[in-house]
Amino acid sequence: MNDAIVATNGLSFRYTRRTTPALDHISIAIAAGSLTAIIGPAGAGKSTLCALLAGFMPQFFRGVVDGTATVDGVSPIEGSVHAMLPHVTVVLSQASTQISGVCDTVAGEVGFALANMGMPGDTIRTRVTEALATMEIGHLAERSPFQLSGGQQQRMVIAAALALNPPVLIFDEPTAQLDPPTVAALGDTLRRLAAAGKTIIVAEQHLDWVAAYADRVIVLNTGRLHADGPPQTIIADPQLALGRSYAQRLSSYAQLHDVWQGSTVATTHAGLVQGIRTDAPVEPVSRPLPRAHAAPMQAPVLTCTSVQFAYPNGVPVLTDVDLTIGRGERVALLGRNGAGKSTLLRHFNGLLRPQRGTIALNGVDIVKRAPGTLARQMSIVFQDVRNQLFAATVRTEVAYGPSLLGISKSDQERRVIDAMAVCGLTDDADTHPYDLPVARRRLVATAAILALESDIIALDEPTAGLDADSIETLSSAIATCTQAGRTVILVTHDLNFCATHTDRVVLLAGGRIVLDAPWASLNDDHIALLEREVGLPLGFDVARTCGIAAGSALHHCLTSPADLR
Amino acid sequence: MPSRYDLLHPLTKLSLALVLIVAAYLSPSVWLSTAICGAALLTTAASHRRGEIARVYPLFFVPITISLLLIRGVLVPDVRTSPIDVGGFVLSLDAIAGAWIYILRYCTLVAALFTVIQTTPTAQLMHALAERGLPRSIEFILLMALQIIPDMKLRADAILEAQQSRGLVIHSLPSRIRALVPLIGPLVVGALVDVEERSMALELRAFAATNRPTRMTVLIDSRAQRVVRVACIGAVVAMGGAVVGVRYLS
Repeated sequence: MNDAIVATNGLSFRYTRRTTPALDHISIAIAAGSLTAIIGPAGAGKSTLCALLAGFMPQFFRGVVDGTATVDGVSPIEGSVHAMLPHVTVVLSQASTQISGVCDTVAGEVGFALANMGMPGDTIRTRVTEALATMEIGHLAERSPFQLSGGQQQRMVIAAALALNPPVLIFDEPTAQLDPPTVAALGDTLRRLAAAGKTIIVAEQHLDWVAAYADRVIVLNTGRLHADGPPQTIIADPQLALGRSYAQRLSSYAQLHDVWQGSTVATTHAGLVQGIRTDAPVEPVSRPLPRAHAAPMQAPVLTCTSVQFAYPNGVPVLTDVDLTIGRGERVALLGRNGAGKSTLLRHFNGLLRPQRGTIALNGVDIVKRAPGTLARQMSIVFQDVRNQLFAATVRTEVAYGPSLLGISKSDQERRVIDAMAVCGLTDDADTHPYDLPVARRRLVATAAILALESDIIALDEPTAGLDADSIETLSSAIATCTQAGRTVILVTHDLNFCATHTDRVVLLAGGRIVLDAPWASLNDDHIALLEREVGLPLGFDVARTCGIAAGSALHHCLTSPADLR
Repeated sequence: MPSRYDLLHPLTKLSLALVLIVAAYLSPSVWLSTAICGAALLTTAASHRRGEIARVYPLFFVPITISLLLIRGVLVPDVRTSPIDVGGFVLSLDAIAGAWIYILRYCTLVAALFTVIQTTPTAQLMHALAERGLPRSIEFILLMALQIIPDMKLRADAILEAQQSRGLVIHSLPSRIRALVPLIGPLVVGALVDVEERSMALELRAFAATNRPTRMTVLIDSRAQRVVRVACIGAVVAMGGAVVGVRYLS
């Protein structure tokens, strides 16, 4: 390709002290002004390729490089990262660790690289203002970078990359921490930048996002080029994409239930809208109502009554929260960033205490109980698993929680074996958790909580950064929990995942519960409210665009796909 | 809204604080020390954050005042001068006056420096010092250390929550000792992982670039402020010279 701005030829890279190459003979050419997605399972080499193109190898990450690479006419292998900055920069997935720690304002952080490159102050101010406006965080310019939410920090580090104004911008899993409206806004921004002539490369696990925004998809697997082509071709074929997008699964499901026209599967919202037969006679195929709603709630496991909480600065976070969750229920706790989800979750197991109101687990008030003593009743897998993992092997990590419960050794061992099996970690039992890919580390943290066999298990952003295989494993783990009669609470921005794996939605806005209903019984007003606050799962969005009435059999078919996997 | 004091050049504020601290240290008289301490408190009053700053002062001042008065006035009283019997304790007015000078020195130090710190963003202070020749690496290390402390505190809190959520109970000394590994382990491992990622972030911010860095912001300065700074340095040198002269030449 003559107009390729990024090109590699037989590119291989092996990290020092590793026997297998992270990249193995990769030859690609990427045209200027395109948006290219790099996908593949955990450990495929996506992040390594991103880092190599930005100039990190072999100077920063030691190893052996073979073959050639050029970015904007310069070799990243021979140059340093800062020498490559006029040509390319990369935004890494974990925003919080990309804060330099040197600047006390967002504007300073965004302009820090420009100052280090010796640009005049006026130019820096202009570029910073433009970058902040592009990422819609101009109002945060004077805030401390450490005071921002995860989503805002992600916008800030993207703004810092935009301010450099290189012709090639690389993003390594940029959507991992963002809520759905921000994810869509990021897609639109990247498309605008590509249309303006920038070359955008995005390493991403989120196949629906890739299908919606990428011009081209490159699939890596174990360091090798597995497939390369337009998203319509790659994402539609699970063999090529090495995973299935939600749109693709939903259209296959529609085919199965005879509400689909045509023979090809859809990979985007637009494709689904075109393919759905709105006039199809549909037998109700929706899943049954959740147990706790189908029958009177005999034994609520969690009851919050008039819970109020404000932080020391007086800002109210929770106001008059009343919530009852039954045994065996699967509940999605949704809300925008700052709506109070994490604060409410921390009340459920006593990490925070309400200033007014009561919280009861299995009918017993827990307000004066130490959080650790409640692990049998309620446990939480937090988003940042680095705060949890400390043991030398997966087995000892998973065994730590049960060892604190005062149960017999044999029961402890049984729980550890079961939890590792459910999370697909049996073969990794003697591996150090930090020797596993990030996605599998999250499964280790999940297994460590599952081994507690608590009555309620809450998972905070469980799918963030997971590849398709790991999400499949997580789905099975949740199914195992519910089969055992445990209650599952999901706090997530992944609306498709929670629409498939929960029965009931609880929506928080401004510290209050503004919606609490089973997914299957949401009416048009509920759906409008949900869309306004956090967006809609794809099935709901497609049904609304097609004009399918809430409550109809076809609506249930699309929004409650019981056997969708 | 920042006050005129808040908007002063960081080195002007630092110079004023230095003069007050040196003067308070060298002052031989209670009344002069009181006036100097009053001047230090005036800088607090001139700041728009005076309310927030003043609320913290009792925590600094009260314990030290009580301790020094007890130590100097009761436990080691100079009973030869103006002794007062208070319920069996012999107090000395002169000893209390001596203690009062120490208290005023301490209060001046705290008020002058705390007001500068509270009204000057750290990055601005470092910027000002870097313009006067502070090496960039030292500036970076100081700033990063200051900024990372709150981040580490948040991380430590999050680790405690994560471990409590899987059954960790801390109620006695043995339980605290047992809790060390699951609490310290993620903190250390997390910090090590952060070091690599932060190093990558700094590379991506051109920190390793060899050209002379510029600044996005310009510190506000004026001829009058420069004169004040020179006068302050002159005053400090003069006071030092006077002390040396009195002690060693007379």
